[in-house]
Amino acid sequence: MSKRGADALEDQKVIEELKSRNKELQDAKRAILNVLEDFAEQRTQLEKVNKELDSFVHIVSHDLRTPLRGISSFITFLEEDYKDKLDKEGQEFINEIRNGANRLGELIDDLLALSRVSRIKNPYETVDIRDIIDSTLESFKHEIKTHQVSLKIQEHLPVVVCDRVKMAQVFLNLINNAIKFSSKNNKEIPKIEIGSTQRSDSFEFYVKDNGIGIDPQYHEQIFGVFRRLHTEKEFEGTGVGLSIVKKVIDDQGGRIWIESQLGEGACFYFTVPKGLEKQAK
Amino acid sequence: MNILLVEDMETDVKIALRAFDKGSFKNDIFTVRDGQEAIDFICHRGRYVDPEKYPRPDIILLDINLPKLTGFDVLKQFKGDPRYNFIPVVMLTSSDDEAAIKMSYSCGASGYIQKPANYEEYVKMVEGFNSYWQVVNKLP
Repeated sequence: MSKRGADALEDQKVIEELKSRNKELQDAKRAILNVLEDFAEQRTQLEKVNKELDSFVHIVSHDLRTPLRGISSFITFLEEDYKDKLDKEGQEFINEIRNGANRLGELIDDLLALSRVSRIKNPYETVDIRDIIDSTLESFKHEIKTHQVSLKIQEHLPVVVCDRVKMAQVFLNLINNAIKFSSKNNKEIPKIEIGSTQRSDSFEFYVKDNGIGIDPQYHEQIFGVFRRLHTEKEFEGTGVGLSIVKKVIDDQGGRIWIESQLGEGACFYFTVPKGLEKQAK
Repeated sequence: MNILLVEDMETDVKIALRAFDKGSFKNDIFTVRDGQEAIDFICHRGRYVDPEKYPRPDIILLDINLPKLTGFDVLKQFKGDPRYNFIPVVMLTSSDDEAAIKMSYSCGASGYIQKPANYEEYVKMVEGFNSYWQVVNKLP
């Protein structure tokens, strides 16, 4: 075969090879597009299921209120009309029913609060975090005074773009926990510190207390719904507060974590990404 | 003040009647259990034909989730009729849904009350309700 003929044959082979590779690439591209489409469809399905679940929780919680209203009201009627006919044990039973009804009421309220966080989307706006902290502390002024809580709030706190209502819920829950757990510190007066650090892509906030602390093995599960590490007698609450906090932070694209050792206080950190103003417009 | 309470839940009727009875204001309360009955009562139809026995209510407390006709259906029918549309209607419901609140006012409701969580709260609500509708406000 002449050299020209051999070159032409070689060129033909290269062309065939290129065609074959091109076809493989096209097939791979199609496969990737199919996978992406599947992902998008699954995401849409998941969002739909999540929405339905939130709606379900909302409806069920509301429907539970009706029989609960009956139970707690009729206990009152029983007390008002038949108290004299009940002996001490009978009255204790009434108290137990009332405690149970109150507890169920708290659970329903918290479930509704949790579903509200998912269902209601407020517009992002420019928020002075100092204002939120001041008004939150104002709402806890009675507890702060009663437990003689020492507060250390960083002087300059940032102005960030976020969901104002939900950010207020975050600080409300974290400060409430900080007061609750530090007020049981028998060694020293309760101390709470609140501050922030500016990162390149986010604002990082912290709420620190000198309370009973949390064993690192529970650091993840405390953010779960109804997860509690203590009995109702030791610390009141239903265990929904931190789930609400995590949900708000996650929804804004931030991160939340805790640094704590048992008996050495706790510090909750969370971030609010910069750039949420683009979503605000 | 004559109040028409439109409520299908027996328990809620009993709680409401006791709370109104306990309050410092005196009311005559008539109860009906569904939307159609509410229309019949207001329009003096069927078993409610006798206006002396079933007088025109000064105010209506209306639940939303009712059998047959919903509270919204009742409100729409009733507010579209010039013979009765001046009677104030206050929604009394378990829902705090924003859409339900807006819908109620857009259909002509004069107020929206979320049912109190327990009897003690109910009594407080009734006191506030009576103070407003019998003292502060002028009824037609």
